[in-house]
Amino acid sequence: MSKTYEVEVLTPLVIGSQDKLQSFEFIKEGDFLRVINFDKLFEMSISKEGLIDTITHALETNPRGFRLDDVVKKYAIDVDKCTRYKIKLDGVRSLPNEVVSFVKSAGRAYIPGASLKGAVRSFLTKALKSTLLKQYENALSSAYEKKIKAIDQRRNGVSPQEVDDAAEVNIFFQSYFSPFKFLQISDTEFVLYENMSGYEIKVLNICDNKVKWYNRRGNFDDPQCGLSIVAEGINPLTKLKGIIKVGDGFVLGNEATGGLKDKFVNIASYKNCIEFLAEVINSATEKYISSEIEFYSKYKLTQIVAEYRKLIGILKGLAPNQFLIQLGFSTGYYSKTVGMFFEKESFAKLKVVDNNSKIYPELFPKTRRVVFKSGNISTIPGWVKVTIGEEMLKDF
Amino acid sequence: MDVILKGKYIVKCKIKAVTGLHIGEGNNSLEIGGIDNAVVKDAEGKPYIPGSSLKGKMRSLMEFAEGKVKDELLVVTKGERDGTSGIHIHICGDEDCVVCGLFGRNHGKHKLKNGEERDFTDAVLPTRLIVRDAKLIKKSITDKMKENLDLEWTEVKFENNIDRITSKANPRQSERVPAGAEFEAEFVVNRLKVDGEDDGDLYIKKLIQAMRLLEDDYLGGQGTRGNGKVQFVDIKIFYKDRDAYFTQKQPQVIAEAAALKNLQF
Ligand SMILES: [Zn+2]
Repeated sequence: MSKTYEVEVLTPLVIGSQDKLQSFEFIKEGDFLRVINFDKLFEMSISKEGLIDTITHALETNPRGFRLDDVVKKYAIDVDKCTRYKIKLDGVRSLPNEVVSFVKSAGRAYIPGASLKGAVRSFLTKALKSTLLKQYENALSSAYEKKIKAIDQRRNGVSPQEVDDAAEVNIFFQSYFSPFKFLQISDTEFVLYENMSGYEIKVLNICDNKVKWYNRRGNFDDPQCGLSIVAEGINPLTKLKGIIKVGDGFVLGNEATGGLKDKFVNIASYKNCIEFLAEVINSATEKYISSEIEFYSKYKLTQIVAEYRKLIGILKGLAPNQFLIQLGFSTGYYSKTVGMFFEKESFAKLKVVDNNSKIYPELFPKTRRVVFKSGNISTIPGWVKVTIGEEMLKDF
Repeated sequence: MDVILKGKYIVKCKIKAVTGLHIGEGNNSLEIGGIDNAVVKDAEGKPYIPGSSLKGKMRSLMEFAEGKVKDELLVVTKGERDGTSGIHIHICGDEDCVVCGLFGRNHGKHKLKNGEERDFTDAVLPTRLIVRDAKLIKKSITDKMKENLDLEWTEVKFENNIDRITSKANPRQSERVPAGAEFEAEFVVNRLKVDGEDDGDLYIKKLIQAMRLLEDDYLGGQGTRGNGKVQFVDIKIFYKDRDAYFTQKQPQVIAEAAALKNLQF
């Protein structure tokens, strides 16, 4: 049976697309970002002698110094005619040459069902029984041993994208038999651009037990020296609808799959698959947020601790058909993995298995992405509240 | 068996993609430089919905709805590579079976899921349901949408599969028709009189039921991850009596609605 779901954005939500907006595609106009259709601008300017040469020359010689607004002014171009859209810049202090673009379909932003389903899967995995969670750590150990052998033989050996495969198949079965076949989540309706903003994100990096802010040249005490990533995100309070279908097979299984029922502990007596799903996700969310509060408290990042306490408050007050979950860009290693349950020693193995990433086994992960507003720490990205509604009665 | 054609119900409507739609080419042959998961396209390079995809999906939804998904009733049509599972469709010899009655039976011997072999040739009737290929309505993809598409009529969607241990992403891409696209669809239901018994409007009603089931499910690939929510809109149902084929008589409109949920039929 199909039901509507509603995502309520609680903290800025960024779901990045494959492409980034480049400096020649946008103009900063006060607190707004105007995104230009560059192809159209080119078309419109065929009559303007010298314009194309100016742009190509500038991009070839000094792309970082290129300012589209100068060109637009110089050649008196009617930008409204080649504007894709405009969004607010919410307390963005420094605008880099690239902006992380939100995923779009034919130019309209939306939350892909795949992103929400991926987050649901990630949080369900975090809620697994400890015996099952242990299988991931075992998978890491065997990948480690394989990698050590491969290094001896000067081979590559292990792909970091396939370390979890054995555990995943063991717990959730091959895709044909997977309980996740019974969970359908549609894309949401489209987001109005007035409900989107550009958000500034900085990278917190713990160095020698101290809070530092990362940029390519090093790590700094002053957050203003830290690298700024600007991303298009959906504003808090925005609500978006989609359709969800949770088949009984998802929890109870059928002849092809065992279902998920026996894979978790401390789940109150089973009533229906929606409440089961919500309860399992919320149990993982609580563990995850508690461990994040511990992390941020240790480094006295009071604003973030306060934000997470607020989320805990919301979590405690949820109805049985609601859950809290984090998704999208800049949500970090713990959000997407089961790493928060690993023993400390496992990260030494992870360092060997994934030798292209910076892994510090003493403290991993030691970075976090934080949203800044007007130069101050504001919140963490990606938290949403999902409400699974009544049986579908109308369109989105 | 004595079979007479009494008339034809013709359903004309639009299929609207509410979310992106991916109906794959089926062959996974990789074109160099192409997208590794392309959608089916017609001779003009426009995406379309093959009648066979629509019919197949509706059949499987009806099989569930009518409780026909049982071991002794399922025919194995295609074995998977590893031989442990196959694609099963329901075919039976029951003359009153609405699923087989509407969607048809195949001639010849079939192997049932429970191992038995059966031949349904005696029960084979002219197929009641014909589903035409649904062509893209070009103007449903507006100029504004086209400006933002990766390809002429479609877009490329990326999805990441994330390793739960390393957090490394494994990106996959697939092509899809953007949300908002509309297709011109046509269904024909033959009204038969079999051994003196008239179908009446039984099968056209079953078709409408299958359409309702499809609106509540998805069409095409990656449906559990967002794609393929469709709606039937601008629906008109015609009835064309057998005699109309011999005279100038125009088919009658017997029902119409702006959307399936408003259809009183
Ligand atoms: Zn049958």
